[in-house]
Amino acid sequence: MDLGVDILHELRTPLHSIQGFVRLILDGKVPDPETQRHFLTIVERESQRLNNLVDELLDAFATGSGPKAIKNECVSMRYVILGTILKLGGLAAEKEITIDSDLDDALPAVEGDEQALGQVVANLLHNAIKFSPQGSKITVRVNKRDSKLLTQVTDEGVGITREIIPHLFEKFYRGHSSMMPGACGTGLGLHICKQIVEAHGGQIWVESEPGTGNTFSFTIPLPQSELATSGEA
Amino acid sequence: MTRKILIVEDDPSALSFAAYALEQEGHQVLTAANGVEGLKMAQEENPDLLVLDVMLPGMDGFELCHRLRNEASTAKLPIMMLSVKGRESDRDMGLKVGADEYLTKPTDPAELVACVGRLLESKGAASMEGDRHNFEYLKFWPRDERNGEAV
Repeated sequence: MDLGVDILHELRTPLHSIQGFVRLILDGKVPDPETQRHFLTIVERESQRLNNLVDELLDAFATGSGPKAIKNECVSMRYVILGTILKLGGLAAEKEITIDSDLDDALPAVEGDEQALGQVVANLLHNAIKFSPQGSKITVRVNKRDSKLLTQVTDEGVGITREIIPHLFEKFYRGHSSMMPGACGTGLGLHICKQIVEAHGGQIWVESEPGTGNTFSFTIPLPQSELATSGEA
Repeated sequence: MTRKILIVEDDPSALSFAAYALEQEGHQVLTAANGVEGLKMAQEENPDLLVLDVMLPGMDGFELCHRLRNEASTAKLPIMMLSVKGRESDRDMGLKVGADEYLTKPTDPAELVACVGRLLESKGAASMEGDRHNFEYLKFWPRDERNGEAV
């Protein structure tokens, strides 16, 4: 996966605007107080964006290996999801958002990289929290569907316009910062999720109803041994 | 002297920063938010100079630059690339596809303005060789006088 260098380059995008506007103001090139205020608002927003980028970087590289090497472990999605909810609980609480989980005790394990799959769940949950209104609810569900394990994160956010959906998982796609001030990241989060899910042989997609919310879903194929067991059941 | 400058940049904040800095210098600024739109405007609006971001959705800045260089109407258009990609190999690529200058973000507004000025000047000089000599003479002569200790 081509991650390391590109994402570091992206840190310069907000820095460029921050330094540029501050320099213009310090050099006396912005005499109009209203324009000055407007530029400082942009500086504030870009600083927030830089902070979000650092958060994403920390998510991606926190445990060192990043998603580059996909391991082949026996992974309990139930365990991964509960751990991620615990980790992001504080962030959700700040916006009085509740996270419900609908997880069967007897969910079969999948084969894959526990840390990478945790990163996918964390990214989807993090986005859901970021774009959900104060006091809303997020639900995480895991179900067995055919020969796959289906994980779904549903929020009550504003929804995603139809034109944006096909681009959401593209590298560097950031939507429009005017639409979601301060909320734009690297445009890499969902792209990384897609790469991780596909490296596991699964698929990732989104369904959105403007005004009612979004559901991000991904599948991970069940191992042959699980399929044989469920066949007998 | 007012010149028409096209900025192709997908980041709205970076776009308004560059547009403001160049408008302050008295230039007329046109903007495009992606490579395809940038290509169309470069061909139709006949700008005097192009400020071009590299990482753009769809057609990127390298490809856009390469295409402009391969068309007679835009082959000599002064192009300044402005990018977060700051490695030597990125710069080499920019110059290889035909950019006249390659600046790395973050860019100081004075540097941006000076670079645009240099490029516009050399374009003017290319079309009017005589004027160039006059301009250079005027540029250096008063500076020597100002800096001279006797003054």
